[in-house]
Amino acid sequence: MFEVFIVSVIYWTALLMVFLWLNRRLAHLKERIADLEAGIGVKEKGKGGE
Amino acid sequence: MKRDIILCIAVAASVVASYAAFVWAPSEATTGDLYRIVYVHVASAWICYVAFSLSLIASIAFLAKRKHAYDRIAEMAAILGLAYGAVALISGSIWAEATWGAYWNWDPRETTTLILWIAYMGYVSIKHSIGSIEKKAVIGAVYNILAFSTVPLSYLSILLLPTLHPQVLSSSEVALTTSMLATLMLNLLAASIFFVYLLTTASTVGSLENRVNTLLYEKGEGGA
Repeated sequence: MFEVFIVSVIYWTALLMVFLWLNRRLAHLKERIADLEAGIGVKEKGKGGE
Repeated sequence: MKRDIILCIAVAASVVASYAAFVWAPSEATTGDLYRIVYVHVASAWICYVAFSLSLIASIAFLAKRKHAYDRIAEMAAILGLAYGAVALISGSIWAEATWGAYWNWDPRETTTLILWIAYMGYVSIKHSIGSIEKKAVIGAVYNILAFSTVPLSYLSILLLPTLHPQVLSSSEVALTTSMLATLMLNLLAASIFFVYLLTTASTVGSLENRVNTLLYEKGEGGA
């Protein structure tokens, strides 16, 4: 039964790592898009005001 | 929101499948409780094959339509396939040590699956080593089509070559009862739903990466 336990730990650890990697990447990209869009907004506003 | 619903279903299905695999299903007549490894091992191997097949379809679609969304799906499916493939290889080795006495026996199924895994590592390496977006997409897609030849090689190895690997569903070595078969199917279903969630998330990551590149281009900073 020890082997079964080890295999299930490996399986769930692998899935958890992929899950965390994808969700962290998703959060980072959303943040980056918000920053870039805010930057572009400021740039366009600046151009309009000139 | 849609992804959250898929995640909830995947987690619920996985809990039920794990309970069935480790508690509800009876022990196998010859291998005893060790047989429970099969529920994880077969599910991982199944998803590995499905992921690489999806990756192949997406690469062909990319070459036919030249839409980078297909190329991103191909890459993400291959990365997920590698993760599941690694679990299948490790769980297979643990099974091998317990039943055949050694972690690695150069059995045709072990060897061809390792070749498959290395071939797809090559694909992901190619995708990350070429600078030009267009060039890496085309070279990656062509390589992916060639690398897929290792999938039928791995799958058919136990049918065509003399092997130690048992055929889980049609072997006389393992006595599979109805409840064991139901548990195996439940684990395949749960793993498939979890894979759908991971692939959907990976696809969203891909489209957001594309959005970042577009915004950087608009700002005049070039690609990410």
